[in-house]
Amino acid sequence: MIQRDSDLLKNILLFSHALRDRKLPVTINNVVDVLRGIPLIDLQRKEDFHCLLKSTFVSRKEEMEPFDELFEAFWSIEEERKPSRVKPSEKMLHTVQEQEENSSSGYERKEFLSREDDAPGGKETSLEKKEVLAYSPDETLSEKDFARLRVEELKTIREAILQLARKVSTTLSRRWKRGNGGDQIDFRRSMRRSIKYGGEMIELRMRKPKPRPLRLVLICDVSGSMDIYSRFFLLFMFGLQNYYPHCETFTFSTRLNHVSPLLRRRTFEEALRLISKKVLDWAGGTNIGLSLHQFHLRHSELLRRNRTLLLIFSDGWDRGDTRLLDSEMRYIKGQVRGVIWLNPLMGSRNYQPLCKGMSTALPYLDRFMPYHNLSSLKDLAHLISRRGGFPS
Amino acid sequence: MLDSIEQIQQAMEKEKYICDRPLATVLYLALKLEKPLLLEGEAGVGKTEVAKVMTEVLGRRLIRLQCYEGLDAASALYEWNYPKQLLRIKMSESRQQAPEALNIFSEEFLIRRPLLQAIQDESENRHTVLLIDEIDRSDEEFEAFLLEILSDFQITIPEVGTIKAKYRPLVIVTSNRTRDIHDALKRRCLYHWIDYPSFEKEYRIVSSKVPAIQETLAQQICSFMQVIRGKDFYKRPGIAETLDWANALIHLHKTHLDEEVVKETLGCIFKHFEDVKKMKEEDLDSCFSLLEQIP
Repeated sequence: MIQRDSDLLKNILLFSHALRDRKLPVTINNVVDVLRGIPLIDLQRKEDFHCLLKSTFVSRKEEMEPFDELFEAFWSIEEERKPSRVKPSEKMLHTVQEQEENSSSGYERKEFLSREDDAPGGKETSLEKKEVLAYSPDETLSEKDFARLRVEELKTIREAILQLARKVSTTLSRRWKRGNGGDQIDFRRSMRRSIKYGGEMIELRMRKPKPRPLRLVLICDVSGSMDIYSRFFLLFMFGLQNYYPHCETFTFSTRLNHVSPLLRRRTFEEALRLISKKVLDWAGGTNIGLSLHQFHLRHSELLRRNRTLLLIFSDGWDRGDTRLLDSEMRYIKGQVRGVIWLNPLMGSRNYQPLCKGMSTALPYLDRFMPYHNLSSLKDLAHLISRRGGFPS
Repeated sequence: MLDSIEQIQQAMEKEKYICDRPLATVLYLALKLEKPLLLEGEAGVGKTEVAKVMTEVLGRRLIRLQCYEGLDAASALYEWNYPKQLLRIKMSESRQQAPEALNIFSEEFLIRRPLLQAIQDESENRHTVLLIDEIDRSDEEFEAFLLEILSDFQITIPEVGTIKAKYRPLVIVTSNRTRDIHDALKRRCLYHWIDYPSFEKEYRIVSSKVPAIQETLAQQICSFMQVIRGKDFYKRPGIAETLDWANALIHLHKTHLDEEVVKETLGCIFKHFEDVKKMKEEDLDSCFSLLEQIP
């Protein structure tokens, strides 16, 4: 009896390690909870055991599928070879590891992991700024057009884009100090003051409502004409989505897609794969007006006059109705703090925003900026970091 | 008292909540392990209902905190009763009491908001059920206030000290996943995802909640819902919509579904103009042809 218990414990630990290898954030406290739960359920019923492990180890919908897969693989082998309970699962664990090491994405995964590991460290310290500088590629690479990058340069650029996204996130998340001005009475502090005057409220303490964080909405054109550049913007969106909580991301070509859930908590490669799978019209035609209309109908709660900064990434080649684009741009402009339009074509010296879509949208923009190389992204990052760069 | 998974399942069905075994299991674990339960799922699958039904089943008091953007500690945890404090100061002044005797930051001057009520129930009803509804609507910083309560069932008030729950409440947190909940909070909870119901489950729900319904109509409604949920709509209908629809059809004295009836009552199923339009123009025929394939 005792023997069996200890084996079960070992197996649960091994199982939790295997989950961790699959990027489920399992902690030792979860394991403790499972052990507390075991006496409460009937171990003969696999269904209940599954439920106990699942409710403690899983904490979001996306983790359910990998969990179920691993659960089946791990605990089924267990049943077939009952005599030796530990070994098969150990073997299982190794095969899982081997599979991951052999898989082509293995390298990327590790790279992503190590980046994540140093994330919680020196946040908001000057050290981080130095790191950013140290990472940033030299001038010539910064000026180089994304479309002309060589394979060996990709990694450096990629790193730099993610670093910039993180930098923007930390500056935007910084708390603002509360002053004594403002138009609301802070009763709690005023009461404290009044005690020394015997209850007369002589000095009133005031407070300001806490400034609300800036909300970023990023909309990326993934139609055919944008193909190369949109990948680089998606990378920036990916970085912001994972580091900055008040951020929502969309893609569009002929229709709008909300991609925030796809970008979160994955490797970029996986996210990209999911997006191209879900976004059926990837690299299709463009209908900016209709896409903005869908955004207006379905996500207008994201638009706040004082708080939302909207970034649209597109070359403005529009095959849709310009009147619809015009009315939607007017509506959105009135609902947000600022609209920034990023255009990869602005990189070329003699570009003029003459195409139908671009010239329609132009009057409603607060900023019209290029996005074709690292240096243009740096300008953008600098602008957003100053709380959107627009007076509220 | 509920001492097994089966008992919970039966008790909930008595309250007309059709509960599958995994849900009963996590509820049982939440009660026994005294851990909060985080329920996620699409809108209208009955997350909030779980808390209400558990309140009935356990015979406890329900304390509900509806989350919204801007919800702060003063309206969720506690606040000081400032007018009362001022009056007390004035009184002690007129009686010329020593200022040391004046303790205006004591429990007497505390206004209890839902979370404090849940761990320190005044009405001696002992255990409570605490429902923290739609937590994804609150701001991230609000989640931080919840951490102490959810892990230790206590609230620290600087002026008073730490107030610990005598009887731990059953805590149910619901989320529609409009944003991610912080890991720190998730770690403290058991997790359960409520999916759209299977045909059998939905049929049982409809028959128990709308007893007046005829068998064939109930079957048709549920099959139709299964078909719709397999299609791409912006907001797919939940159980709440199924029940609304079933009730509407009864009031219209309908006994079976046909295209005309469905068209007239689409407003019960879809709450977005685009979805209604798409259904009318594109999907109605295919839904009916799929429906005919189901025996």
